[in-house]
Amino acid sequence: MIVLKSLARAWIKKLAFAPSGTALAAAAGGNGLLLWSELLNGKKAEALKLPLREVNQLAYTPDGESLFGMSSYYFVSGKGQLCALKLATREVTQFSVNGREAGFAPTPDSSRVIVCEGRSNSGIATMRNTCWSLHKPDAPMWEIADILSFMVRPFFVNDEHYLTMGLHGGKGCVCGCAPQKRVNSCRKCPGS
Amino acid sequence: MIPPDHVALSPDATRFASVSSTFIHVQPLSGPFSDKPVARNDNKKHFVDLAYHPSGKYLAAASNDETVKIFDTTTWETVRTFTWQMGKMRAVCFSPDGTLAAAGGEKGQVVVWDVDL
Repeated sequence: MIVLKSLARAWIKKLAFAPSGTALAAAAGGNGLLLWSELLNGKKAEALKLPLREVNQLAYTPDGESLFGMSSYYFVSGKGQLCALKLATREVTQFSVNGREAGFAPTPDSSRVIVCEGRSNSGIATMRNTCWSLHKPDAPMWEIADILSFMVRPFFVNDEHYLTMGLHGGKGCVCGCAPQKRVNSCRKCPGS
Repeated sequence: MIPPDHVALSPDATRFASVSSTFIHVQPLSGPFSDKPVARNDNKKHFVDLAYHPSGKYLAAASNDETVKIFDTTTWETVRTFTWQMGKMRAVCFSPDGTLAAAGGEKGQVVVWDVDL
């Protein structure tokens, strides 16, 4: 067992192992990001700041080349609360997502990211899935309305299909399920 | 309210788990929905994060009670309880090959350990 200490002494809000298992990322305090690139060499973490109000979700792309960070909507709302850090160059790409972002999942081929966004129209919340290319962060490749009315997160179940998930009544999680009705929301990812 | 990422899909993509206060819920992707939790904490402190082991046989849950508990996903009994004197635990995850696990707490510390289950 090893204990990795950060200088920030801030809450660790999320952890993610790289696909190789040799690197670890932590969301720590505000928009802080800690990176242990060589996990077991005993070196201190590299501390970075992402251009987000908060970092409370993290995920590596499956190829391990980029790391996504997001401010999920229970903490903040506003434009651009999703970004990708290219690990080789430390270049940050900020995506123009424009809702209350709830969750995301990089596609299995690492070229895109599926985002669950919430929007409020006249007090009625609507959820959408948007898909963004890592090379075109200014506009989504596609978007589709989701049947969920609460926070959701996508998960890829294979190379082509993803599920969206939401919480129901504060008690648990339902998959693709509106509050009163269960439906199957497993979708084929367009363009895959 | 639970942050939206405190849900986890099982590695075989047949069910999903979530934490809600002191409870862990697991639902199948198809079949009847149940409000009954599969496990609850042995105190009044909340679970705050969870992660499936890549084998699907275990689920780790981080808690405000300063522990990380490992549950057997067949019996939902606690098979390990870890405490590191790091304060409230906030996050937990497994490495993709399942050989390592990591957990983080409120004091900015992260612990990494060899998974031996």
